[in-house]
Amino acid sequence: MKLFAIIKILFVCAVFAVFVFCINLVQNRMNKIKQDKSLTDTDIVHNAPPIVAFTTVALGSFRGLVADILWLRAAMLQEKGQYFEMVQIASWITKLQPRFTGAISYLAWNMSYNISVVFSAPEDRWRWVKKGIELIRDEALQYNPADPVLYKELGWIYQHKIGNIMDDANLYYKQQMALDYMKVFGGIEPNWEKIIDAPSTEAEFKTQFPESDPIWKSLLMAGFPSIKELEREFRKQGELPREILDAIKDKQKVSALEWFLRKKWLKEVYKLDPAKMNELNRKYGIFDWRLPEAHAIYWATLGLEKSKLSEREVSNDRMITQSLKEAFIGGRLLMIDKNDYLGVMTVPNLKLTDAVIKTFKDAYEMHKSQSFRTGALKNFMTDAIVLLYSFGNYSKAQAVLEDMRKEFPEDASLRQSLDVYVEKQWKEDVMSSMPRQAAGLVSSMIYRALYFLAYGEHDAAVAHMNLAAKIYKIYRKERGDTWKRTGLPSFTEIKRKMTEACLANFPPELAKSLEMEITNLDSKIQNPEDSERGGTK
Amino acid sequence: MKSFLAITGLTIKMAIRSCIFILLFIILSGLVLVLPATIIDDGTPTGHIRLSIQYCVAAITFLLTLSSIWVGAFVCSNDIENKQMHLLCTKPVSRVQIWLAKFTGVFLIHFVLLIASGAIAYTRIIYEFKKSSYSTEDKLKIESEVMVGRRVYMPEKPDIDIEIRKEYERRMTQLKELGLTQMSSQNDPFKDPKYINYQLRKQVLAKLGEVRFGPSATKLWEYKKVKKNPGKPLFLRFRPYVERITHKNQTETYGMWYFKIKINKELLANLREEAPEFAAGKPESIFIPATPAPERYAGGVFNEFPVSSAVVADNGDVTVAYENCDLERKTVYFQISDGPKILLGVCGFFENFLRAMLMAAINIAFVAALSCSLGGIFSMPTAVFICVSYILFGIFANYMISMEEIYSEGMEEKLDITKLESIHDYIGRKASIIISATTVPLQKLGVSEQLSDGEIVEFEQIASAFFKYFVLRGLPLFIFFIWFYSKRELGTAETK
Repeated sequence: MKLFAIIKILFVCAVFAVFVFCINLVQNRMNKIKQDKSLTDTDIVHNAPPIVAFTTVALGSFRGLVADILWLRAAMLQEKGQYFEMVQIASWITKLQPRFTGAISYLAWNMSYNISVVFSAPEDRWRWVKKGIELIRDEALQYNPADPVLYKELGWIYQHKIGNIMDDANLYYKQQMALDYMKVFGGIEPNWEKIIDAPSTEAEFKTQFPESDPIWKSLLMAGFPSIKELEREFRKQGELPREILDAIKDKQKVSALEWFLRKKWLKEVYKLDPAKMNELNRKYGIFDWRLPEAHAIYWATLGLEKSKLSEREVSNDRMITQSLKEAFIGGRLLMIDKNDYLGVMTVPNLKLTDAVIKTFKDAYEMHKSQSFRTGALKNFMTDAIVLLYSFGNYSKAQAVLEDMRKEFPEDASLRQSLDVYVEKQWKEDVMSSMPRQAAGLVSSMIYRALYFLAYGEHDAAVAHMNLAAKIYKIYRKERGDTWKRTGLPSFTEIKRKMTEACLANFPPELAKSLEMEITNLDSKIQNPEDSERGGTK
Repeated sequence: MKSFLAITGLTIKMAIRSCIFILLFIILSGLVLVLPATIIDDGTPTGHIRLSIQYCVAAITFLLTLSSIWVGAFVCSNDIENKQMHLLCTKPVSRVQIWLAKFTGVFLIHFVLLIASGAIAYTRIIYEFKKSSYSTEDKLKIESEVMVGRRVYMPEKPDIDIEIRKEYERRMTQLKELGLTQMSSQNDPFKDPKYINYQLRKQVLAKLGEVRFGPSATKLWEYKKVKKNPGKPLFLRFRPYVERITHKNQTETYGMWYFKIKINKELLANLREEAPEFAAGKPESIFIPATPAPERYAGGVFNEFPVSSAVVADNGDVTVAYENCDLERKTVYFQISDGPKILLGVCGFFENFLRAMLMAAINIAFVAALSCSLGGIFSMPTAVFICVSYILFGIFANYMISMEEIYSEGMEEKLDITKLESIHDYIGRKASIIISATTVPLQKLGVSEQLSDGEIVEFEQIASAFFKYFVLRGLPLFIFFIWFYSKRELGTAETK
């Protein structure tokens, strides 16, 4: 009986051992599949704050249930039109499921796109657009620094929501963004050399200036016992307080302190690395970092760099090419008025021409999509030629045309001269215009010319005025016999009215500058009516 | 009574001795002090204060609910398991008295904690508000919209059944003119009168909130028994939907609000000068525009503006009109559940906060009674498990029912979706209805959102919740469990 019992126990043990062995075999395979296909989100989250580490470990699988309840609440609140709790719920969901990047992307997109547009005031809208950006940039990316989808989503908000003109408040977004960054940069752009070399953290700053350094005594005397307090004041004002400038006599130390604070601000709040920004400047051309396109390119580039090569996200590539194109078309901030967001005016960043063409070509080489070459690349080169020509950069326009001829030898239209080619492009635009649209086109060109003139950009002003004259001439020629019915006022008349309007509406300093320069401009442009009569002005 | 008080006192002493009271007090105080500082709000002062109020009250109620489940189940089951009950039974005190005394003890501990933590939360919120650097405009907004107790008045609803009958008859006349006899074809799966009634109801309700473009389509709403409170402004809260009732792709719209006011001698004299023809007709009332020109309103979100108390007639009637001035002549809709609502400040934040605390006390009393009842007949873990399950069933069943209500907004007769849903959906829905009718949905006793919305917690609401949930649903259950408790054979515990 005893033997039988022993045999029974041994048999059970043997069966158990076989099962364990078999399970082990299957489990190993299952674990490998889980890991390869990223089927779980239970990996340890690096860089996570204690609350995230706690929730992911302590709640285990139950956090999914809690997150579900929060999702239901978020949906219900949105249905009710109550949004004040949405940021908190989004943050909780992110903390509960930090690896669920698809959900976080949705939450950010929902705040930046859906919630923002239910508000009519642009400042309310901007608040929600920023909340979307902050959710990805400040939370999700800290937990998932190698997730290309998050970089793409973040870049998309910059590129599309802020950069595009689909949202009625887009100019407000651009104005606020520019004002924010001007405060951090201490001007239009930072001193790249100084900001890159500056220490990033307080510890690094203390290494550079040990406690024995008189700078610390000066800070104390100025009423700032700690860097934290100085930082608070600095971020409020955007510059060093008067007391500090009075207390520290050594200009080099003042400069070191200022650039340390700016770098820390840029890295801590905006999560931007000045060295990386400058690297992009060197790679593509000088960006205007106050505008969204530069930021879209920054985040898309990081997305490409941090993701594994096998998971190279095509969308990030596309975002870089598209944003470069947008930055070329309107990537330089010409005018900004902090009291009037409608006064935001951007102009092409022509320095990016070569970089954009190269990026388009590289993207084509990488993805080998014929439609990309004949569509995106060709369209861009055409636009580039017209824009360069419009802004008086004729030699560069000629160079791009020649490059285009080599790239598309089969296209006969490219064999025409630069003037004829550009004129043909304009003609296509003008031909499809109604009288009001044509008048608008001519007026807007004159308006831009006057703006450039007021800002002292003479070449661009002359080019735009000549362009207005040419458009006027093309339109008149196209209308022929119907001119009486579909014609426009005389070019001189349109120009006179526009000049009067600009002088009356420009800020006093700009109006004064325009008044001084306007006579010089008249001597350089060709009046279409004069040329028709055979004369040149 | 002496024995009752003695047992209650012992229960309280036991709770204090076991550090539950002190521990809970420390946790609650810490929580309400720290919580507002950890909130991630929408960036507006109003949003921050609303969330602070909502989360503090909700957190206090939640923690005390959990604690009362635990303590209630513990004090009743522990007596039996530790055989103290056997000693108590030898005394001239009935088990019903024992149960009542223990329940009172548990409730009193939690009530004191509720008042103490509520006082800390209230002080914390007021301190934060007073010390904040918010602009005067923001502070005024918070004071008039959040930190206040405003009574909500909904417009009078027409008799929907009469409207449906009229619409039905109108359509039947149209059909007869076309030579048809019924609204749907023979093969139509939805030809039954119930479905037709539902569709008509939906259309009639939609039409009730519809405001087409132009002055001729101006829509009127009438409110009755509005409290006349001279000097205190009323607020009109409304949510317009442009073109269709959906949150997606809503645009801004323009409109004018008008309020009917009675013409007094002074106004009549003015009218005689400015509009003699109109004044000659001796009008009794006139509609005054709320703004000199059409205002821009965001679609799909709540808009609110203050109105003078002069718009309230002596008998408490208020008549409001909306003229649609949309730039693209799009139709605007107002959902029946959205009102438009008239809000009138009838009490301060302190009083409203106290009312919310009273509601929380009912919540705690119910949970304490339930856990004490279960603790009397089960062991502590079992009692806690059943109690939590009961509460969760109640919450989720009600949630499912409320979802259905949301999607059949304002419908007295719910959508007959049996033809559209699968069998498991059907079973789930029916089960929800049964569970919801027999359990207590604790979310109905939570008023933190109402408090943070600045809406008054009405005494009728508190009394109704107490009667409906504590008396009607809870009391039979408690009596049943107490009966079980009084009949329980203590020998089973003895043999353990």
